[in-house]
Amino acid sequence: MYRPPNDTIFIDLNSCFATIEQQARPMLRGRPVAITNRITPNACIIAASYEAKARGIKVGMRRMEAEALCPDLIFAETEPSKYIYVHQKLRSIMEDYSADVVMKSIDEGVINLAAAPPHIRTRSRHEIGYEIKHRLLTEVGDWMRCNVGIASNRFLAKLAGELHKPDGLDEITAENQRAIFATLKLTDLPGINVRMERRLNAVNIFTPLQLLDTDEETLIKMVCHSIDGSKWYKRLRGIEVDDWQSDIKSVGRQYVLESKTLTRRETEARILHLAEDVGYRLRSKDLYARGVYVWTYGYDDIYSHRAKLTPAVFNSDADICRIARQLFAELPSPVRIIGITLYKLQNHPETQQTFWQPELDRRDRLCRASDAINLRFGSRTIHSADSAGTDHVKTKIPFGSVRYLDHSIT
Amino acid sequence: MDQSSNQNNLHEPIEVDATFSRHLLGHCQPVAFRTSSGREVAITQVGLVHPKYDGLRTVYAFDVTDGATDYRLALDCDSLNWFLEFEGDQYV
Repeated sequence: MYRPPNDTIFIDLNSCFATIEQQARPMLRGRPVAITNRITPNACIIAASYEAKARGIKVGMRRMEAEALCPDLIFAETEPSKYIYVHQKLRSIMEDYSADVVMKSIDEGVINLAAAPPHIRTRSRHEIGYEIKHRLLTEVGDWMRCNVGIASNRFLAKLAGELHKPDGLDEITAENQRAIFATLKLTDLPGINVRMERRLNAVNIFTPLQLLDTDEETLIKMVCHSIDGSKWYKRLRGIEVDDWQSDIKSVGRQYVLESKTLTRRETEARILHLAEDVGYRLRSKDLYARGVYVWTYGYDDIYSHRAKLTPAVFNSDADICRIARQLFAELPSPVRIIGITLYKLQNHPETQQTFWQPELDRRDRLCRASDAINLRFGSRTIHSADSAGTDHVKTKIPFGSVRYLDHSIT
Repeated sequence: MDQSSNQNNLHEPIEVDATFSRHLLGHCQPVAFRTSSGREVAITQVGLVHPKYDGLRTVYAFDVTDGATDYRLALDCDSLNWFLEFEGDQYV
């Protein structure tokens, strides 16, 4: 099977949020640092510095548990504007090498050098990798580190990027792939979790090398039971099968309530705040929704949810808030976490005029005017009176999606 | 000492001595600042310089240290006024 040249460079910032905090605040450097969305006794750690990881701190740990393990652990609250700035700087550096750059999340991205101009395409991949590392140090800060992985497709490049953390640079080629695979476990491969490992074990595949040696038909019929088996066969041989981008299927936000003593009315105000926020995101992508999904987590860990699908599309705050309020009224109290998701998204409203068209047009103009004012004078300069007093419900870090990482949400 | 890196939002007007050069991180490097009470702080290191947006208004945030304490200085790009935003705990 033809193996393409090693044109894919994967860049991954090391312990991204914790490293950025250490970059910003030199007094934190070399010390165990944990990042949480809010400094509360029960806060959940969303990132940890390498010094903290070496002391056993893991992402997802509660603050009390982490402090018991590492008494001198320093907690820092997230500051999204810093992370978004570093993300944008990293993207800008990467885009200097190719027009085809895809950011996979806030802290990692892929450069496709096949789309690069000839004077860059002909350069050594290692030289480009080290240059990006150096530029990160000089253009963002001297504490910033990144891993660089080089291979012929995204899967192998990501694997190469994870071989030597932190600050590594590795290349997987047809020549060294077997030697590298021989040192790894199945779950070290990106995309193979414990469940997938069990499926592989069931057909006597216990190591990455055995997976590499499995024929395409077995992967299709025995492991994946679908065409995904063929993709795995190609992926393992350096053929690119992951260069697709999904459409936006939903827009959502969630919020952990700051107090147990909030009244029903105060909680509803926070739901409406989230509704206005997702409404703005929806309109910023020129999208319309047909469905609203509101959910809550109670203190007893019971998940409750309500959804409503409407025949006509909408994207105005008035419509989203009206439906969200109706749905929230059916949910139990008290709650710990609230969330809202807009779904069944589409690009254009139906062109058929309705009896209510003048009213819909008026709402549309009103929304666009308030969005323009908020963009000019700052978010929540104008908002509904029902969500007043909730300005502290700030946007936290959007894990996974990088669709909204522009300055409008900082 | 509470190990949390507590920061109080001060928004205190300050005077800043700064160097501007396209070769510097963020093209501007504060060297020292004076608070309204007359306290002078010599900056030994600039950590991160990043913009914060509020509508079309831009404020540049400078995370700096004097070797013992971390500070957040803010330069309002509309008024060109400097503010001391945060003063971190002394960790050492």
